[in-house]
Amino acid sequence: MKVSKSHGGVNLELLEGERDILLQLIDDFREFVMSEDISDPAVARLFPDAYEGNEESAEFRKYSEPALREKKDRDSAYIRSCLEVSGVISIKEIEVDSWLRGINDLRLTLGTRLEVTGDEFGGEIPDDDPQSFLYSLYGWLGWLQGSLLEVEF
Amino acid sequence: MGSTSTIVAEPEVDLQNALARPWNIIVWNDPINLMTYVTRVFMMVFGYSKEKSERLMMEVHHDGKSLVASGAREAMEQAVTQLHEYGLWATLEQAS
Repeated sequence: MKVSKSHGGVNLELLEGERDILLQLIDDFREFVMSEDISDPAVARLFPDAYEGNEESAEFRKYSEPALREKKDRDSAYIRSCLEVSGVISIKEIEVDSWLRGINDLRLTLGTRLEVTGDEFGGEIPDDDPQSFLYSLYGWLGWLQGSLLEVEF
Repeated sequence: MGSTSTIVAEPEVDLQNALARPWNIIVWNDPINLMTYVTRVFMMVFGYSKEKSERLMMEVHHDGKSLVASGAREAMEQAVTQLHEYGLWATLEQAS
């Protein structure tokens, strides 16, 4: 993966394997984000309560959640459309935030599943840990997001 | 000699809520969001400077939470929705 500043945006170069993994994650996420099972901690993290009180939270959720779900789907659909084009991915300035939000949603979902506690890039995980691939994926997504932010600032 | 003062209504000011207690937006610390990302979100959602956004981000990081904005309920609810779009953990409470 390589991220660099371009005229009016950001260029992102991915290896074919990286592109395939990201495509698969995005597709999984778009299916997952339609889930309304709020007892799932990852769903609860993506759609948090806005108030401490249950009644106010439910009221807020009723009118904000469908739009929020649609927004998250739109961001990931946009990322998918970028990944479908071969070669260097050129992201316009105005669309960088869609990428940042979409990658962040993947990190929130994966990070909640892995119950990460603090190390931003996943920390050291033994190779024989059955989840070591997911940890390295989480770390890779953090690196991608961090690089997009770095060239943007 | 007396003093005079005039006031002109400004259309963008919502007088209906002028005397109501404001609502505060609290952003809570979480172990996943990158610090540079949180800073960027404050700049994008509230139009804050990089310096102010970094200060608020550090407050979230060190104190576990930060009051990042305050105002009329409807405007604050819209901002919270935007923060949720970006994946920040944000809640609303009425100022005491």
